[in-house]
Amino acid sequence: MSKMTESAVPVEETAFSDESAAAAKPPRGHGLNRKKQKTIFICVMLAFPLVQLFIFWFLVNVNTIIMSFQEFDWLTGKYIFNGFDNFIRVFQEIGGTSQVTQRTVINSVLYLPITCFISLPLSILFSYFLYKKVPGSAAFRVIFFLPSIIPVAVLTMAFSFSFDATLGFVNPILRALGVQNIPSWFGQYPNNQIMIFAYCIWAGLGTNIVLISGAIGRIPIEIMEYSKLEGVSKTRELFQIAIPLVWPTITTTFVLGCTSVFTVMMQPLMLTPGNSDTLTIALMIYNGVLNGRNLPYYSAFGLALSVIGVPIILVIKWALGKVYADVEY
Amino acid sequence: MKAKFLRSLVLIMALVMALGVGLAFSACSTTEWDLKISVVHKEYGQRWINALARKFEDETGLVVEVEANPNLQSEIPNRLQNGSDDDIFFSHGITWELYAAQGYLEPLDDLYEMEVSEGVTFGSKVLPQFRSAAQFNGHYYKVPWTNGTGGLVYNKKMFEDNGWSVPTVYSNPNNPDCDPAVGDVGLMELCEKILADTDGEVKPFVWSSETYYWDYVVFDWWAQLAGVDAIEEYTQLGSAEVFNPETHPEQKEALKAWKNLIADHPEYSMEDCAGKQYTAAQMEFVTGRAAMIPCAQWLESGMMGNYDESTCVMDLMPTPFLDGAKTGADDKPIRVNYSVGSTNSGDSILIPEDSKHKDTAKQFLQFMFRDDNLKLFTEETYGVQLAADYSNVTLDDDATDFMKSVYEINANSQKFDLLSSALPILQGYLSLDWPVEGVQHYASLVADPSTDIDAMYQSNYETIAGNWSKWFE
Repeated sequence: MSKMTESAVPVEETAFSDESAAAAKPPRGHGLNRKKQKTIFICVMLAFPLVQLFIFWFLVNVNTIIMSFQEFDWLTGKYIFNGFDNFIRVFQEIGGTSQVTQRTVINSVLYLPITCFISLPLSILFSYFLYKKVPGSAAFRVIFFLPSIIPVAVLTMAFSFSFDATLGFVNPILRALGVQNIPSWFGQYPNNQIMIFAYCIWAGLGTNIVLISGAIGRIPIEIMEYSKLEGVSKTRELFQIAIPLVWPTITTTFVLGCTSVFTVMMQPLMLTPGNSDTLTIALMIYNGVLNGRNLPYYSAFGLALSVIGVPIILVIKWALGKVYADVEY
Repeated sequence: MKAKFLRSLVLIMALVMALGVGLAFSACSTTEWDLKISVVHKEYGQRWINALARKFEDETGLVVEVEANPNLQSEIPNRLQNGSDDDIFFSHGITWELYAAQGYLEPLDDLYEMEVSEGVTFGSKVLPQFRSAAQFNGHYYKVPWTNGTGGLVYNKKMFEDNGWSVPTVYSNPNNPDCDPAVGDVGLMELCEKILADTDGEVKPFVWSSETYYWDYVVFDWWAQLAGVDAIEEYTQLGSAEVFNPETHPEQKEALKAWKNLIADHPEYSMEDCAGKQYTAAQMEFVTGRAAMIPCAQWLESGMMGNYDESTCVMDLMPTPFLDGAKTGADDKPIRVNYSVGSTNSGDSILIPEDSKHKDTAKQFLQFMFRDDNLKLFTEETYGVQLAADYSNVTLDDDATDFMKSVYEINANSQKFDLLSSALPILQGYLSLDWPVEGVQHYASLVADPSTDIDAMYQSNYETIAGNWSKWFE
């Protein structure tokens, strides 16, 4: 019966737009029109992420900022205001009163050139080779991406065991090649820090390659074919066509690379556990929070470095945006 | 039709969500147990807590829930501050003083007065040096958990097969053949003998980049030279003078002894130990490539099932005496042993202030510190001991050699720790184990054996003395 009713509706009526149809229909039980329904729907959908943002980002950060101006009173069990004491201590320690803090900051800052000027260019290069389908590119794609899908605990263990003096395979190969005086890879500074950088480059290539090769893959084929017809060399194609066209992706990857100064933690934690020579800002804060003894100091530590670091990263982002004009294709 | 379907779908999803939230809240509010014990699940495993919980259930008829959680240490702060269904926490490295000061921990003064057995109070059952470190602002807030025992673990089978004797002193040049009939066997001479007897195939030591395992030997040497009373005075932080290397040179001398043994004699250790993962070092030891490893009471339980007893039988040796060790009334050097894990806040047993079963939790701790349960704990952890008086506990004959050696060392040594609730320690300005910043020097000494240890200690002292009044403001 209902089928018959529906099919009996004139063709002209079914051709109405949704809005006019909604307007023509009498209001339903709850008396809300389509616009209000849409507004409620959007509000409900946005409520969850906004509440989450408010609690886990805004409140956490506000609390961190407040805490950075406090100290714990061990007699009363309360946090009390102490002005800029924590910040003064942070800068004194970075300035040299604490060798551990000073080295931690230096280690962390070095992740920027490693990530942005070694790892990223390598990723661009490999992505281009994969795009050009060099022989074995399918296998290389798996090889490059494999470290990104293996758990970091397993990967760091495999990496460090490879360089173990007696259990690993690297030292015997070097000896067979006649290398004398093989260094202690993880046993002394700065070798252990260099090894962590090497690990970060190796393990970090996969994600960058996925992002950049995806971007290169979206370049219109006609452009590449035209350049081929014009006899453009591969080097010129990479630097003057591919890179400018995927520049927004490279900028994003570069900026993400800059943030590694504040985020690298697992690699030194797993590769050189308990070693104060290879600490990073994130690892130092993690250890401090786990220990729980001086949370206000670590709040100030994170905040002070963010206040310095974030504007620098924003300037870098702005400057990179000026290098090439955005191209839509 | 489509709109009706979508509406129905949304309604069903909303009902499912509401049901889930409701069930979650009901699970939180109505527990099905009389006691919930949360234990950090690391080196000691969870057999011990399961065994104790089941025994407690059998004796009392109460239901005990056990949570063995490898991440518990990092979760405890949130659980204490936001409330949870936990009644007892067992964990390493919790800054319990912070939570005691904020009122998140149940005071345990009444527990320390309760009787564990007839005429024996709980407080008297807890080892004295741990008891004093369990107080904050005049009240007990924690029960010390383990009485850690560390030092040099050796491969007893390898020693027996090769006729090597366990060294009793650091060095005895008069007994180069390490013959116990001639005199004390020296550790330095034994290392030479191991290399000579095996043509260098077996190295005396293997250790890892987690160099703090050497603390268990070096701190013993420090206490041998200084005496446990001086270490106790050191932890009280009466003045900056306790760090003066001129008047208190013992830690420096202990480190120099280590440097001489390891950094100056790289041939005594496997290649590049400073760069070795801890797991790799353990593997080298149990497969017989090294005769000794610095480690602690959890080694056997941690490696259980991963090694062959035809290659390795573990045993913990009393730390060989350094020349100049303090002597007792009998003119013999006093045996000392560092309580592993007792830096900063140490291993702790805590009862949250908002626990719903505080009396049952205290009843369980009373039960746990009974002699029969001390023995059960030690058996189920393959040698780990609670921070309790074990004088009435005897291990069964079928206990492993390792368990017996740990027991023997704890029973016959003066134990000491580096626990302190002094303000600069709590505020993270100063570290007692390796002043000023808790940085161990082992790897740097191996990398550069020419490091001037005297200058290093003098510089540390000057830093501490210069900041002393500021830190104690």
